[in-house]
Amino acid sequence: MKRKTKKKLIQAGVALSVIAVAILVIYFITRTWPIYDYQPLIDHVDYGPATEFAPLAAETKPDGMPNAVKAAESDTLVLYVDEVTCNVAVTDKRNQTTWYAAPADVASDPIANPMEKNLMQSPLVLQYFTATRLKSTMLSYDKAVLNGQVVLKSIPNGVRVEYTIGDTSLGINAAPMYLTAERLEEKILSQLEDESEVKWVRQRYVASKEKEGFLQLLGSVVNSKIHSAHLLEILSTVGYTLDDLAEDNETAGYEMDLTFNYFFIPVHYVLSGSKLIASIHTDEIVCSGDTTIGTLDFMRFFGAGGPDEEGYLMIPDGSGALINFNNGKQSEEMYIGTVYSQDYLMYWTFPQVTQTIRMPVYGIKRDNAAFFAEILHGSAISTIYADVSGRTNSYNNVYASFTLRENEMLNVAGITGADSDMTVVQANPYSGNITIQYSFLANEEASYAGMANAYQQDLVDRGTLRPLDSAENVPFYLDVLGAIEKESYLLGIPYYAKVPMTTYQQAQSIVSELAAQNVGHVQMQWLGWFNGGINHHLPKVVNPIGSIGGKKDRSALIDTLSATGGNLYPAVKFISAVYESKNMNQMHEMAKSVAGYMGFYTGYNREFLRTSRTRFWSDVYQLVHPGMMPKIIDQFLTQYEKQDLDTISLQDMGDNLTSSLHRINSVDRESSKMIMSDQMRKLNEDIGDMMVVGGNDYSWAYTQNMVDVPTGADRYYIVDESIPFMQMVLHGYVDYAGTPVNSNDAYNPDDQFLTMLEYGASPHYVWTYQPTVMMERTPYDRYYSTQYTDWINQAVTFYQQYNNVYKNLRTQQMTDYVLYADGVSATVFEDGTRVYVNKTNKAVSVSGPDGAVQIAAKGYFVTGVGTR
Amino acid sequence: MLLHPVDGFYEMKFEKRGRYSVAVLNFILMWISYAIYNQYGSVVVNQRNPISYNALVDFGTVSVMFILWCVANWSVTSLANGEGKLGEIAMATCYAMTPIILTFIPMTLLSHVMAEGETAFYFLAIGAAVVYFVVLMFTGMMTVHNYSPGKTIGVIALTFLAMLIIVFLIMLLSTLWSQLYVFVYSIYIELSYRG
Repeated sequence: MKRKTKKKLIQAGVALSVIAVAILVIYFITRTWPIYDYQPLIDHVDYGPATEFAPLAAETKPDGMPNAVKAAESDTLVLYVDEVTCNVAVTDKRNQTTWYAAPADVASDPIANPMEKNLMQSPLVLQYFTATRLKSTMLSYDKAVLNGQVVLKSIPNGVRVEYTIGDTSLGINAAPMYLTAERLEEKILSQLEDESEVKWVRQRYVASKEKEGFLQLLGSVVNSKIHSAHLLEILSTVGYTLDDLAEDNETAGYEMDLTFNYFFIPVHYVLSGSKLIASIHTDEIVCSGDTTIGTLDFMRFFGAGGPDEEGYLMIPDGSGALINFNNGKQSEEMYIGTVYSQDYLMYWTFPQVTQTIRMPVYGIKRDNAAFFAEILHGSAISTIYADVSGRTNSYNNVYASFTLRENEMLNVAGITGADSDMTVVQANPYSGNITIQYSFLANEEASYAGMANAYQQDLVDRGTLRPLDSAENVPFYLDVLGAIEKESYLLGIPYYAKVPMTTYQQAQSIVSELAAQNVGHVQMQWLGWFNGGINHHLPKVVNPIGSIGGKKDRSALIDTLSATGGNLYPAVKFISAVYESKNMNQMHEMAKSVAGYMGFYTGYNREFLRTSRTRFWSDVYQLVHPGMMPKIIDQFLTQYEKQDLDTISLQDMGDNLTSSLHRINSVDRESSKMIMSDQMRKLNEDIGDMMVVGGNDYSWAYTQNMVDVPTGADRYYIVDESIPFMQMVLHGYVDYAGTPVNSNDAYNPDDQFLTMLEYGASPHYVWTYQPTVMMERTPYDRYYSTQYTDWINQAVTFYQQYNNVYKNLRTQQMTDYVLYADGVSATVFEDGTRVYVNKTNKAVSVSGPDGAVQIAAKGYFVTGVGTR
Repeated sequence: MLLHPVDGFYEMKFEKRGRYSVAVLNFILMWISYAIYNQYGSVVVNQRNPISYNALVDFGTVSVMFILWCVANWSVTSLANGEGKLGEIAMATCYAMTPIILTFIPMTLLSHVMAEGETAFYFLAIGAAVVYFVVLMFTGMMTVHNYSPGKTIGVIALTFLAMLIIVFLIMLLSTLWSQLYVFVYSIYIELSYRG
């Protein structure tokens, strides 16, 4: 009996230890699950070795910078650096305009207070987290320049400015805490002449209780700023040195409790042709102690426009927008825009339905000069700010801020209230460079058209943009909804039925109907063809839906489309998968937020102004971990190969950008961008022709078909005009279309058609064959107006008119855009063709270069070579 | 059994003529007929919204109630000299569901050819089925445990009380467990993020 009990105990023990080991093994496997090694994708541009600063000989100095020296010179530019403030200035030799990093006459700004003046002279503004994760701010001017903690160094063609921002003085620690009576007499008291001072010091050093034979400094001195300052002053008059301090501390066996709070940040300014490159290598940044940098505002007032200057700020909101200098709107909200929109992982609340920033660019035009800035590295973690004069200072500025570390509140202890929330800060920030490239434009180039042209030229040089092949007609973009998943019931048991809204055969008949009315070159994006429907499961596997037709039907459809120059693009989502995805491993394949929350998000709910759980589980999504994306895409490619398709439409990869910021296996947003761009290259190489929805700039190199491109900017109060900046960059290199005409919030087909002409955006519709009532009670009820019979006549008319204007302009560059009055504009092309558009209710007459032009109310008029 | 309930249950218990397979089938049929009743009943009579009705939830509720009933009844009758075993209680309960199965499906079909004024017949039939179900349950319990009618009523009342106590204990336990979980979890969070 006893033996049996013993045996049982041993067995239990063995079983328990096996379980314990298993748990540990599982724990370590899950923590160290390998993700894609994205480090090689991160660009580390080196600007050469730094040497002792050696200014070049200069005859002139820019106005208002008496301490400036010449740091570098190129054919068109001169780079100056102020030896005192360490701010830079660039003079454009073509028109003798100087661009200052800090406005030259900050001191005389009548509005700015002293704090604001410090801010205006700081090219770096840090928002950081203390060791206890409280947010705080530091400016490079008052915490580095005024403390004399900046070092200048020379690098090839430029200058390296090493800032140590923060407090590195010893403070009261410079006074000895413990010392012997003899040392006190010898080093301090004997040197003092004033008897009252001797008495004061003697009273502050009393016999120590902790260290026998030593005198100790009173706590009241340490804690009092006035007494501390007085003691330090005495010490400096008697010449008590740091060596003396070290000796005293050593004899007393005392270690100073030093908590310096500083950040070491080197900044590079390099001239390259007519460009200035400003760069921070984030891997060189040093943070003291447990402090960490949250956000970094870089070159906040570079090129800021003064109160008397003419000009505007160009912001990349939507298709592009202008804010005029001194427009008097200082009581409106300033412009803040997160590049590529906010990350669904971290932000659930979207108080406004806004346009996404597709290109990380901005610019300033000032009198007859302009600069155009492109964020070369770090765009995915940047936010663009723009403000006009009059609010807290007299300048108009636009700049980028970089979020190195996100933070999130984590609820602890299951109780509610502010006390129970703990701030968690992102552990692994982006480790590459942050680079802004400023291109300077002079004289007639100095305009937003010049900026667009400069950007386009850069993109062409980099090989991102390739000219379009010529075609007979402009494309007609058609999104077709195939199968949708609809919750249905059998015997009261819910299941998802795959309801075919359009089959391949039906689509073929739509295409034939269009062809019969001379609408060719139909570029068809097919939504809802595999893995359950439009909101499909993770595309690790590809299971086509049979109810919309088989492979043969699809091939027949492709043949019909390509007969008139079009093609079929099956839509696939990669960065999110619908909640019901059975093939998604939530532990490894799902993105996690800073505090470790799972990356769920849902369709946007306009009632609550946030993404919140809707009525449908098929509208709840899981965000895919960007580090797992390459593996998932590899699996997808092997499966997709069997489908015999040589086209694909990326529904979300070029539209949204997400990250996984939890400390385990984290991928920051900029690295995520690199991964996505690299994966798009892979998809493009393996599959072929790609269509991209949205069209963020990192997808431009891999596509010549974009839909849902912004055609306008948000109507923020501070914004004065919206311009087709993105279109000026892309036209002639990419075929693009705006959002579908029939899914617009308001029914105003005339305005939409005129916008198409104005922005050179091809007609775009989203259609179904079946009546839309079949989509009732599904998340797709937003497509309430898609039955093709309601729209085909309008589509044919729009296409014919648009094709007449644009079939010869398709491969041409859009060289300018002139806004005559609100709603009256002309879009200018390479060959001189001008497309005049009048959206107002009255006929107008404008004087173009070919004389006066009459434009009918809600009408358009074309002049120049393109007119046939 | 439907016509001679006392004899029927007597034979089930003492002559072992009841079968578990039939009991399980009865239970499933009851659930199906209940689902059909809710899902496909005509608009005139159907109180539930057929596009948000989930039969699986109902199946869960009914199963839990059924298990609770059997366990509670068994625990009460074991103390009160009942002769029934747990299996017999379950079997008797399932057998008692027969009138529901036989009425709900035909009535659901009929409801589609009824006008609003004629629904009285529908509700009469449904009501009769439920009442007969209760009667059968009563007879079943009485026979299985070999009780007098008066004692059966008392025991059924006690059974409901026992069901309440069981539910209360389960809730108490789950609350305590969740509190313990939150406590351990918050220690883990504090250690991993603040430390």
